[in-house]
Amino acid sequence: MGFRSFLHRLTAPRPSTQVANAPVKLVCVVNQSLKMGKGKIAAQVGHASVQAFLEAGVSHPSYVEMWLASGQKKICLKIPEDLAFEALMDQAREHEIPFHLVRDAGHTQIPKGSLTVLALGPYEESALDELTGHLKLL
Amino acid sequence: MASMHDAPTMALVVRQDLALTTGKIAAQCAHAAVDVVRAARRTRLLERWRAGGSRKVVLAVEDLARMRELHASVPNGCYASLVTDAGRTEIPAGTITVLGLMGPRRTMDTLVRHLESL
Repeated sequence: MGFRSFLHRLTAPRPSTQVANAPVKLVCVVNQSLKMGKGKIAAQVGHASVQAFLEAGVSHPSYVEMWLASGQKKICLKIPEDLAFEALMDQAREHEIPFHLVRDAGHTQIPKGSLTVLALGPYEESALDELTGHLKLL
Repeated sequence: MASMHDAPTMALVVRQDLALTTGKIAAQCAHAAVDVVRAARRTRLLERWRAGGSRKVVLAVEDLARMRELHASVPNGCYASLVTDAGRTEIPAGTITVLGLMGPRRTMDTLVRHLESL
């Protein structure tokens, strides 16, 4: 193990001991109020997915492994405005579901700091459906 | 931290001939982004990409033939990954939808200069 990896392992949060044994997916919830173009949305969802995948790889490794092995199932949903992100994140925290909220750097299209996409997972489909079942497909 | 001007770049190149919906494009781009990051794992390039703000651009390519040409011309030191759809929605299983690329900024800018952003 290299020095960096060693340091990283020392300082990383303790991995969740939960083991994945049901279908797993990643949900990306897009903020519709920003009126982003489709290329912008794709980039933001890509960003959210990469971050969620890397962070959950540390906190929820067995879910990530299963997600990768089962074809990286992911689904894109939408919310009318960013107010709903807070409630979703509260619920995610409560259920120990990994999540990542993207704040845009503001280089293009929208103001800096806009909340664009919330990625939830990779985590059990049934638990994610309880949180996001009411949201519409993008 | 790498400055904005030389930070590595990820390009997600989407096929235009499939006429995918926005949600589908986003999901396929996410898949490509994750795959490219996995292809580049444990490299200095990936570390610099993340430290430099994870710069990414989403581009359009006319059809599969053009996408394959682009894929074949990816130079050494760059990473590439083709996404094949599982066919659960919209399009038949096995359809190639997005090409994900990552490389040094200048190399990438040259490689995709002829493509329009999506």
